[in-house]
Amino acid sequence: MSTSGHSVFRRLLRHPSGLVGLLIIALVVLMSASAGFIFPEGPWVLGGRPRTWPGVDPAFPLGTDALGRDMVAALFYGARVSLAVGAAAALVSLVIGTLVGAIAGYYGGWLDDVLMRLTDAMQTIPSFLAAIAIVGVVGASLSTIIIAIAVVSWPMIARLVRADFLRLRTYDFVQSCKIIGMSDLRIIFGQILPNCLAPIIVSSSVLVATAIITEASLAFLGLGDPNVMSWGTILSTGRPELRSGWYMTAFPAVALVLTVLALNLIGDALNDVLNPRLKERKS
Amino acid sequence: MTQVLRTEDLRLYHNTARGQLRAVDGVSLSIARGETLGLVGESGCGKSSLAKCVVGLDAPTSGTLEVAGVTPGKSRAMRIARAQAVQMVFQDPSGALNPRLSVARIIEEPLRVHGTGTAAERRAQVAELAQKVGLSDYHLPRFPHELSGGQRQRVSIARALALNPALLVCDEAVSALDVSVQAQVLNLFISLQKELDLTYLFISHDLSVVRYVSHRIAVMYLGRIVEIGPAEEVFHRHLHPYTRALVAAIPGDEALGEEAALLEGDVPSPVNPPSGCAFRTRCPHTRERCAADVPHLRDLGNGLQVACHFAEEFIRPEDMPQAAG
Amino acid sequence: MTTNAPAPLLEVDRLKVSVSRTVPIVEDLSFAIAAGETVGLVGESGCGKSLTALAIMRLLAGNLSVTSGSIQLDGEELTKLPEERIRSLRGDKMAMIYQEPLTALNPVMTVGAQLVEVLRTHRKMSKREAAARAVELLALVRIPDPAARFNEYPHRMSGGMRQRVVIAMALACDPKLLIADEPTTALDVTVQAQVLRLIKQLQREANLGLLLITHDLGVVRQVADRIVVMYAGSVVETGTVAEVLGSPRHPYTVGLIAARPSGSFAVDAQKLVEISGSVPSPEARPKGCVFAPRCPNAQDDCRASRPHLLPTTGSHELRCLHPMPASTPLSAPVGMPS
Repeated sequence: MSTSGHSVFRRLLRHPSGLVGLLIIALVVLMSASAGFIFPEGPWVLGGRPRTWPGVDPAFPLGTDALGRDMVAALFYGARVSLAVGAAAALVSLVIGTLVGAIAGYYGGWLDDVLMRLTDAMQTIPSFLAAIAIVGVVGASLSTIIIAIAVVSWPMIARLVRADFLRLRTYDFVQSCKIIGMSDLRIIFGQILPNCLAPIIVSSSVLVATAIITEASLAFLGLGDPNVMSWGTILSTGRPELRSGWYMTAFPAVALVLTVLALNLIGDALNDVLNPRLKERKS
Repeated sequence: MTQVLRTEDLRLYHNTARGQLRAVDGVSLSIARGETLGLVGESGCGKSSLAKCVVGLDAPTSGTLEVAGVTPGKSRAMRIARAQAVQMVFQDPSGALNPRLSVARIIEEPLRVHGTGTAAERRAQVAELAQKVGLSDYHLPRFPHELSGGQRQRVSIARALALNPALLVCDEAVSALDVSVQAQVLNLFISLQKELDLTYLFISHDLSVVRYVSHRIAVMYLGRIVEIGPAEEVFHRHLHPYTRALVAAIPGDEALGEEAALLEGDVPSPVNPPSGCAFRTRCPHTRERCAADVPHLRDLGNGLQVACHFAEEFIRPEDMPQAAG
Repeated sequence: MTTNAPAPLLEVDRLKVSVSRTVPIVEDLSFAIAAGETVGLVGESGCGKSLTALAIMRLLAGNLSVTSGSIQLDGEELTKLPEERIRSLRGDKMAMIYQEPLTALNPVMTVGAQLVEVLRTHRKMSKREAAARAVELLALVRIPDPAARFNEYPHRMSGGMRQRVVIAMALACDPKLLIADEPTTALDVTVQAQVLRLIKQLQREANLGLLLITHDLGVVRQVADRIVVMYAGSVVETGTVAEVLGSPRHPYTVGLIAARPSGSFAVDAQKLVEISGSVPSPEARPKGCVFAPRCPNAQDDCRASRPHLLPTTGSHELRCLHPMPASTPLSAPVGMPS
């Protein structure tokens, strides 16, 4: 798997939109990794004059917000939170979705019926409202937000995985695994799952993007974790100043748009790279 | 002679929306060690369902089934025991191999599941198996999509042989292959049988192929065996009208194409099979009795058994048992 | 058959079909079909026989194209015709039957509606006339109770019945040329026999030129007048069925015949003749004779350059430098119960 993963990465680099996406994401990762070194005192320091416009004070190249906090520091720390929330929420929903989809698709019958009705039920709830409700009831903390996003986004993965399992479980190689006496768990995770990784990987990049947006939206509505600085938090604090200092909302908005765009570009590129039919046509 | 496979009144019914589907409807047969039993019939006749029962993919509704002394069961020990008694080779050589695993890994998989030997021992065993089926070291690190259809089928056979089973079920194992490759694989099956004293249940819709590899042939129609006996007896005497139609349908004989009575229509649905003799709706010799009584297999000499009320009428003088014997 | 008749119905001349215009899949393919004649195009998978059919129908997929050679139907050059004209020929003057009858029919339309549509596309007919003709066609292909079957959906029919409907659609506008690509491969043997007999009868009645594509030499022997044996994109042997299957000369044809089981191993312990190896991919075709790597007769000159298709006796033509002797005795006729 490691060698094939390596070659996928290489082909991704050769793909134009994959390359652009990866570059942007690399930048965001760099921002979040270096935030602690460049701004050791954190994003909350009231260091400058409030409402400094970008380019006015060289110490604050992107200006300061209404409380005099450095915009650059906020953006760097925000990158950290947005990425972490996106990745963690995507991971949790991947795990739940894959488990549900694999079990439903492999065993079929009543188990499939029960799990899929549950999935249907989850999908009928408007996901953002559900996230608001969960955060509203349990209270806003980073882990609650992650769980809330994961809970509303796993059904998509579950459907995807189930469809693949339904198809693959009829293949003769799965039958032959049963005939050689292999256990169900080993067939599910060792034999079938590796064959449906491609769509899971593709949709997980979209999943991360959705999670980042959901977190930002929650923060914008004041439902973000008050103890961390995310891009949503910056948006939220910049909102009252929209008319006098629009740059306060523009910077985090641009950061969000670019990141989400990059993730979607990577998703598209992955789709091209991992799609076996296209691959065959090229070779 | 030891019986490697023995079934008695084996039945497999499925419940469908339209009613009970009788996929296998009372099959009794046995195969001796080192023997090949060919099973022919058209799609929907139940030959693949019978195969699924034998290898344990489906649990029979009733009847007895014994493979190399093992009777089916649900426990892990039973599953492992059966896997060592019977293995299967499938029709589609590309669907039968996991596209994500290398050839070496695919062949090794059964050994890993059964915890055979150390990693090094298993590797040696894989190399030996590959060589046995005519693959070289070159093929071992490859992936299925890098191989030709014939080579993939060899990988399938190597995997099936890994556990040293007594019985190999070949379900249309050469049907998807081109003629020239088909011959290679058929020859391989025959030489493996001699070398390893293997027993085959060889399933195909192709009567010529079945006749070539089999010692005995069983003809199935709508879940039942309608004729069974030594291969040449079945092929030449074909006392059941259905067997006769199958022989006549082998393309190639101009005269048959022009004159021979071909069967009308299609195989009826196994959900609502005709009463009495299931073949009567397509049989050119149907009489009243056929609708009333179910014909059972009867001995007609030289080991040939036929399930037809009027089989004696179809005996041609030149094929009389004494003449043939 | 009358191979020296004035102008054949279909004439394929030195046809070359390539992928991305560079890698040839079909090379130097020439054959002709007269009206009322059946030509069997035989070969294993990947030899280019289905592509030939698609090239004639001008239905080649995107990256495939005819890079040289000509295809003439009734004196009209098909490779150069505008798309519009081809569309009006397809289904009218030339028609095709596919291997898989289920995918050849539209699952959401009744059988009758599909026949009516074909008829009304090519003929000025009222709905009523077309419907009457459709029922006639269903009767022509021996579908029992055609008037009732008219309103049936394809999925409610058996494979054999569906293939009959496909044949009826192909014959709807009285084509002159019928291409049948593995028409019975997906069918059960008893049904295959029925459908083959039907195709043969209809072909005789309508004096059709029939191109029958198959991998089964037995089918060709039963139905065809002449045979074209293809291997890896080129014709290796051609002639009347009696010439080619009666005394095959090309080692590949001989191998194909001998590889097909015709006896019982248990009785005469006779191993099947194998053709070692497998068909090379189009990119990996050898420089010399394409069959040389698998050929028991191959010598140095075979590997040096491609042999030409040359006449031997009668209409028998051969692409081989070291053919089998003219009277190769065959153990048993193809596919015939011995």
